Amino acid sequence: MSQNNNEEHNYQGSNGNHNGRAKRRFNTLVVDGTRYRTLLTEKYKKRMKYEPGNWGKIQSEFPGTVVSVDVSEGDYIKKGDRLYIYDAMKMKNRAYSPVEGQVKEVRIKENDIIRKGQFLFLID
Amino acid sequence: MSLKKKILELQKKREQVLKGGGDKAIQKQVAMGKMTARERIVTLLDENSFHEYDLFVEHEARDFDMDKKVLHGDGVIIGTGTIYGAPVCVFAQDFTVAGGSLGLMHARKIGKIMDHAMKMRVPLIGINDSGGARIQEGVNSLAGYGEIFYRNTLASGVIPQISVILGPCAGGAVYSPALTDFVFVVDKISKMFITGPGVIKTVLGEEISMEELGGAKVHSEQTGNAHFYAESEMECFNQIKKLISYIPWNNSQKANKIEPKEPLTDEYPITEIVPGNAKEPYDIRDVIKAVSDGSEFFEIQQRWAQNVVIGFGRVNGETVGFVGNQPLILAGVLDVDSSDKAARFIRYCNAFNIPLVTFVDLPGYLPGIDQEHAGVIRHGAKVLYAYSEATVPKITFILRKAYGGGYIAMNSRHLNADFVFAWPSAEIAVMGPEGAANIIFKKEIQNAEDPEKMRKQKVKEYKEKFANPYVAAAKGYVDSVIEPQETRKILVHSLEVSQNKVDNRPSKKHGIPPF
Repeated sequence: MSQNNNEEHNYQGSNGNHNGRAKRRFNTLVVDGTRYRTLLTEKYKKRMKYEPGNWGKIQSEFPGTVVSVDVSEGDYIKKGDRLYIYDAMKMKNRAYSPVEGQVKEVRIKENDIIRKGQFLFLID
Repeated sequence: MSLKKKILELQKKREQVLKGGGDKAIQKQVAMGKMTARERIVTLLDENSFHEYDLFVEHEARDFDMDKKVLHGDGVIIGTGTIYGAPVCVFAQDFTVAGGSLGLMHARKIGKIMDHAMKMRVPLIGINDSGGARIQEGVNSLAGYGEIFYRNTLASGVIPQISVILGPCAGGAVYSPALTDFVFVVDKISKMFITGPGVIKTVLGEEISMEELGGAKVHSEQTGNAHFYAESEMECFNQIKKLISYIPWNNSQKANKIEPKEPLTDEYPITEIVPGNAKEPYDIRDVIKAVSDGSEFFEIQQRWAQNVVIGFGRVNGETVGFVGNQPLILAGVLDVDSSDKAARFIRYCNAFNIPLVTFVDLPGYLPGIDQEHAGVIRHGAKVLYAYSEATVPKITFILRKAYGGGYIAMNSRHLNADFVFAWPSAEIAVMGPEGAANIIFKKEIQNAEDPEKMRKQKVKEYKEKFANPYVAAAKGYVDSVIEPQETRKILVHSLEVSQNKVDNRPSKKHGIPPF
């Protein structure tokens, strides 16, 4: 981390001093097979790795508080069965299963505060 | 009562109101490391140039015991003044009066000075330091915000609008700055967000400080909401003054011309800045400084989407807008953020009659799943839209790589650039030699005894054939191939001959840019 900060410090302070080029530690960026020597931004380094979709992995769509959990581990459920109710933005919201299968994992309980994108159920 | 007595009475009334929220509130403001609203205005404007209006305005709220409260000036100061002799309209929210909260009269005062700025066709500067809507006034304060947003929108592209965030600016209040042209922030003082840390904690259980959520650094480095970042209020005011010196008063004028200066060629020797190898980095700002008057470059959004560089400079005394790919950062690619950054600046320059000078050196758009899913198609299209739409003089210099969609987007001839020049180091092609050779000569490489050797040979062949400016020059896509040291001379000439440029477009209500 500190190395990156140093790089950026040099860059910010370079102020047109192209002789200072040797001091910087460059990274490599590949575009269409060509390797470019350049600096990377913090935002670029923090990019999220893409994960292919898994319909059985139920994640929260909205942050909120769990009001009730309506399925238990081992239950067989149909598509459209209610999974849980959560309180968010002053509303009670119901979440339904997008798939049919057996509930393998339940990762929440009543009164839990959930983040957006949190892994809640695994259905197989 | 004699006139003398009446004058004394006025002086006494003024004295009371000028204190804003009173000594205690002022002490609090100072303790937070902030200047008072009136100090800010006086510091920003030319000495003795400020004239205040609506000093005696008072609110009319009755509910929640508000009728018993006196809020001097209803928490905002409005008036007119000058910056380097240029007239400006200004408002500053006074945090010492009810936390600078926005009630109906407060908003009406702001609306009044906005209307005035529009009528007089002069820049508007708004200093924001407010706790938000005055809850006791209910929907009236929301009405106030709405009236301000509406005026911001009507004024957009007619007069320059500058927002200075010198305190909290939360909830609906953030949308007035967001609608204006330039947002200034100061470290540890500016705070902008839609929902504050309190709400986030209640709803999400996540704890975050105001500074981390919406401080000056966040908005100048991550979100791109801010255009100028300063360490102190004083530095911020100097930045505003400098900006005012570069831009015209309104969209029917040109920026003031000043005495031309030569660039500092010893410090910025143009022939030595750019490495011949297109894979090697350098700082594009050095090239800009090598051609701008006095090697001065006033960079905008210096800390955000740094892979493209934008800002003002002067050439032969005239303000120009520079746009350049930055090979130092992410090889100068266009991505979601840098496209937004460049496109908005191009539209600003076009609205205010500022010629555009573009330096091209990019491998194209940034490849990647995250970029595709973040909508690089929609965002990237903004650059094409903005350049195509612009009718100010548009001059392009292709320094090295100009590949694929990136070449087209960066003010190419095909988007109606007025002049396109290329250095002999320019490589105008559909993609870089490595990628292109791998596709064109796929079979030859696969079937070769030594594929790696064949690949290298084919890359070399492709480089010789296409990685140069002459293929494009042969079609007239490049007007001339120039030596780097001729750049400034040719730029000066191009601007001179573009002075009376007329570029009439079909009339329409407005276009539909890919927002």
